[in-house]
Amino acid sequence: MDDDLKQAKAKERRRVRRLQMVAALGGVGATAGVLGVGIAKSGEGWMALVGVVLALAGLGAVIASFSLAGRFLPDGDTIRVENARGGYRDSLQSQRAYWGAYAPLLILFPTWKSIEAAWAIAGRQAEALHWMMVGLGPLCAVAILLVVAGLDNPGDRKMKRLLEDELTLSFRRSSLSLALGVALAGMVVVFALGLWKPQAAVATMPGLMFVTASAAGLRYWQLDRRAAGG
Amino acid sequence: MADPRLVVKLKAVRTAAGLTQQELADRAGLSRKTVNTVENGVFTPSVLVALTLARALGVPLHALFTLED
Repeated sequence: MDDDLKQAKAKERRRVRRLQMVAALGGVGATAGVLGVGIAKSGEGWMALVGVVLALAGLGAVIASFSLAGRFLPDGDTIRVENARGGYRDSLQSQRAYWGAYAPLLILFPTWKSIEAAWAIAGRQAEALHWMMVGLGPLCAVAILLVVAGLDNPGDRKMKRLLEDELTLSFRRSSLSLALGVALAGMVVVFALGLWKPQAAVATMPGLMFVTASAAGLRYWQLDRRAAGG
Repeated sequence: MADPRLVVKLKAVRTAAGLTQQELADRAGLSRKTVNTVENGVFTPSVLVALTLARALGVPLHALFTLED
């Protein structure tokens, strides 16, 4: 092994370690944020103040972890080290495809909360929390669609080139076409529902976005699996 | 889905050259999935990818792809 490759491997190990630390910071921040909101809502006096401070600190940690994560994303050294093993492009593309398959499971809960919030808002029974929650599910669905469309930022131009080839572009086309079909069919259903009960139509929209994004993510994963087969 | 008129002889040429899909993919700078889907007729490559594969195998393009009569 030449010295350059050894150095690249050492840098790569450091990058992965730092990224793990940043992810841990984000996890701790999110937990502190949720705890802080809970304490602020249930506590009184100085306990409520502690809750607010904890929530703000948690939010700060999450924002900091996001901005720091951008500095430790895979880069040119990652590509070099992984290419030395062979098959890096395939494993990188598969990781993305797997993400498309399990991301819908991760956004199931936020989508449900958004449906509840939309129901409350359309029924004129909204509280402040409903206005905060209503956009969460749709935002997550849009995030999945952006990844399937390849519009997310992988952080490095070389990395982008590895992820984007003719085959993955054909997967994207097929996945997004299916998602468009699902969205159009869903809109017809929602429209019909709205004629009967407008509140139900409004509440169904986050669900429709979830189904659309899930269709795109799962189709992408299915095509990737089929391509990987011998 | 590939056009049914396209006859793909990539697998025969690759195995004759003693290469695995991964080795050909590495040599051509493509993903193994691209090689696999082209071989199985799932994916019709562009002229650029077809020429890249032909160059990596050291054969002319018509040795890999022909049109059915």
